[in-house]
Amino acid sequence: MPIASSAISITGVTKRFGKTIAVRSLDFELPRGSLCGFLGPNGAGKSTTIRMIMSIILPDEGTIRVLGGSALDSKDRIGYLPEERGVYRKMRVGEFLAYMAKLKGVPSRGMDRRVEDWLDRVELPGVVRKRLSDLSKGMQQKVQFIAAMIHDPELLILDEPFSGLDPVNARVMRDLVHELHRKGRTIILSTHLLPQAEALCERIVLINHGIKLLDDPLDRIREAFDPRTIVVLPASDAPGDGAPALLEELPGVVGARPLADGRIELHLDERTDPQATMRAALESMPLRGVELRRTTLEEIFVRLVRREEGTEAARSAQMALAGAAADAAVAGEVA
Amino acid sequence: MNGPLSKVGAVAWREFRHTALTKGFLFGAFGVPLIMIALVALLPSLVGQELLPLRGTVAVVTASDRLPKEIETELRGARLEDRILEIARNGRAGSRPRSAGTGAADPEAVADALDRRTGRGESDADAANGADGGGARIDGTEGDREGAGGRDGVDRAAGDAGSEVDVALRVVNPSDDPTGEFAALKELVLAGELVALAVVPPEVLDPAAEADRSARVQLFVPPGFLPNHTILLRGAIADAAARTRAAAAGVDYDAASALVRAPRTDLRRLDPAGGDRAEQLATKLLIPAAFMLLLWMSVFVSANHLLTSTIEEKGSKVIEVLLSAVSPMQLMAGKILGQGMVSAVMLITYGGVGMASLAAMATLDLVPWMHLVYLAIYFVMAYFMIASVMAGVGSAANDLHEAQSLVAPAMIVLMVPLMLWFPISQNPNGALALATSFIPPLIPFVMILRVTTANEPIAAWQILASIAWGFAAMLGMIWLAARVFRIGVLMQGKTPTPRELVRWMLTP
Repeated sequence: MPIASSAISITGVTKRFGKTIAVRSLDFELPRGSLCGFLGPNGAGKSTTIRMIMSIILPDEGTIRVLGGSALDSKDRIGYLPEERGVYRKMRVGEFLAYMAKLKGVPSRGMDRRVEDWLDRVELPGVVRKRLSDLSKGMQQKVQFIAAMIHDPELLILDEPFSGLDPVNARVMRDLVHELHRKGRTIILSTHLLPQAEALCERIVLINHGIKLLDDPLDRIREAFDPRTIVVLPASDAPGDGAPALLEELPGVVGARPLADGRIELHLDERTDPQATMRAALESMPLRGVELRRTTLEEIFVRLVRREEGTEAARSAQMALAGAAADAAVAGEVA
Repeated sequence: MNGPLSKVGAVAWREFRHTALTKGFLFGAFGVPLIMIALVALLPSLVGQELLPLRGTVAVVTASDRLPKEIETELRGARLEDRILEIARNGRAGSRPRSAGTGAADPEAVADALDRRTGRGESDADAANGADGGGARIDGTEGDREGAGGRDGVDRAAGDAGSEVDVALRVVNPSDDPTGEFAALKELVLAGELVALAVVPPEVLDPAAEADRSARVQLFVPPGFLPNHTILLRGAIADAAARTRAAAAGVDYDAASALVRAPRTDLRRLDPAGGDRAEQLATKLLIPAAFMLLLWMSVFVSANHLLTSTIEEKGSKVIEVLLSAVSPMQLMAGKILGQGMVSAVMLITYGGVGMASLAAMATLDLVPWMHLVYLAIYFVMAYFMIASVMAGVGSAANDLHEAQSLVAPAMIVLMVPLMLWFPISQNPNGALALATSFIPPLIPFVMILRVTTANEPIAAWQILASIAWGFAAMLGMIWLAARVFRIGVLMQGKTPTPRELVRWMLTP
């Protein structure tokens, strides 16, 4: 049952292209006002899902509700920056942005002011009369970014928004995303730059082979994928070579491994409270630092995708075996 | 309010603005035709300037005493003027001799002038003494011929030194060069001392020998000799030979010519309401063709723009940005409407120029207002049919090369009306015309030919049925194109096969 306050509600959505199933029985709810990272390896079905959310293509099965209504009716309330984005190269910047705004329902009155304001916000002043072909790729990308946001959408879908941007411009765009999020806009961010997703997003949806693998707030994901590892940095007057052995004797520690930079990694068992072990480590010897190691999004991504790849391979093998058995049965009958 | 129509309107306006309001289009659609009109208007004057003066001596190798006199007559006075007028009428020259007034030759005036001349049947003497448009004189006479390099003789016929044609004749006896090559005279032609050399064998002047048409006059001209001058000399010598032959046969050439001249026909069209009026057959044949070409051209130019702009949007990936704001159907509708406005502008402009031309020639009655209504109806039908094909193909193709392959079968079909113009114009109620009137997408092109061909009225039921069936087919084509468009615009990679296109059409 869709949540009333959901910005996006996807239920049992499947999309096939010929024999290929791009998205399989996908379900997820995206609460309004959230900033969600939509992640997955290449060919996972992200762009297909986004295109269905945008009602550019329609699902074969299942339903998609966007901003409480049909996706088609909500187009003007959505901003979309596709991964494969283009511009009319011969058009002037101001004219292109005004055209896109008009298609999104922005009234003509005050259009020039609106366009210039947005250009100023992304640090592109004075280009309004320039042709898009005269702008650099990064500048064009900023213009495309504005085109996705100029109508002040409630929902913003950004597919690889930072690719091709230099660090300065990426920061400008990131700040804009933050600003819009603070204003209560719902944002979906599809990116391969996992550290950026980790820094920006509060929620992650991960899909692979069209199947959802993960859909949770980032904190909960970190909790769930807690590595149960503490890293300590012994002080200069600590026991030295004997430190790992000493730390390994702490309650709940199942292993201690010295790292190349002088730190020692302590692996805990499932039942041990990491906070108690950290206190015990501080008491056991002089330390310059002790921290609970956080699982990076990249580690979670790789782990889940690999696990799913194994499952997929097993599923394929099962299907192949079933097919072979059926063939054998048919062959037997024929014989 | 930003309803679907508003979005379609925005797409249509962008499409129109970025096609029609560009320098390239304005130059191609209006500049080029204007230049062509200007050239057509100026061409006669420009070509007229090329009728450079022809002055000098022509050597005529002949044993005849009469032929040189006849040539002399042909190259002076009224005969010369007639000859120049005839060249002008045939489009080979555009100006009249200065004595007859310079400037562009009016074909009607030329024809009238020729009629007047031939009608009054001037005698040779009259012609020789008539309005002087130039002149010729004989420098060598039978009595004082000195061979191929003979001296200049006495000017027996006064020529006008200021005229455009001032030719002296040097008469040379064939016996002066037993080889028959006249190499020395040819050298003089090459050296520019002689304008030309004409060798007239006696058989040409012998009425009995000429019957088998094997004998020929040989005319040697130097390199770079102007075509108009060649035509002038060749005609004068040929006519002079004919006159000489007639005289030898004892026939009055002018009288004989008058006898064999076919009478002109005054074609009148009877009016059912009574009376009759002049029938302009050529114009009537051309008007249906003009209507069809106008329709064809205005539709195809903008439909091609639609094809290329769709491919460009797809290729530049801007299509996905657009589809985030509008549905594929809205996008296609906007693009088709926008290019439709371009097409309408072209139709109105070129059609308006055509109507203005008819009005200027006081022949506006050749286009009844109902024809314009038919043009509007069949234009809408034709444009949407062709545009839907182009939009569908443009969405399915990845580049122009692919599009050309996909659109080729449709183009072959659409060339049919151009090929059928003449048979349908000749017989607008024939089986061919009737059958093609109900085959989409030929309907509008064939029907505009038929309804504007005024020699036979088309049954009203055929017109109404073609309109009803044509618009139904048009809607069907738009529907199929939309089915292809919504899938095709998002497809990248290999070109879809015809089978895949059909599958796209059938996919709900």
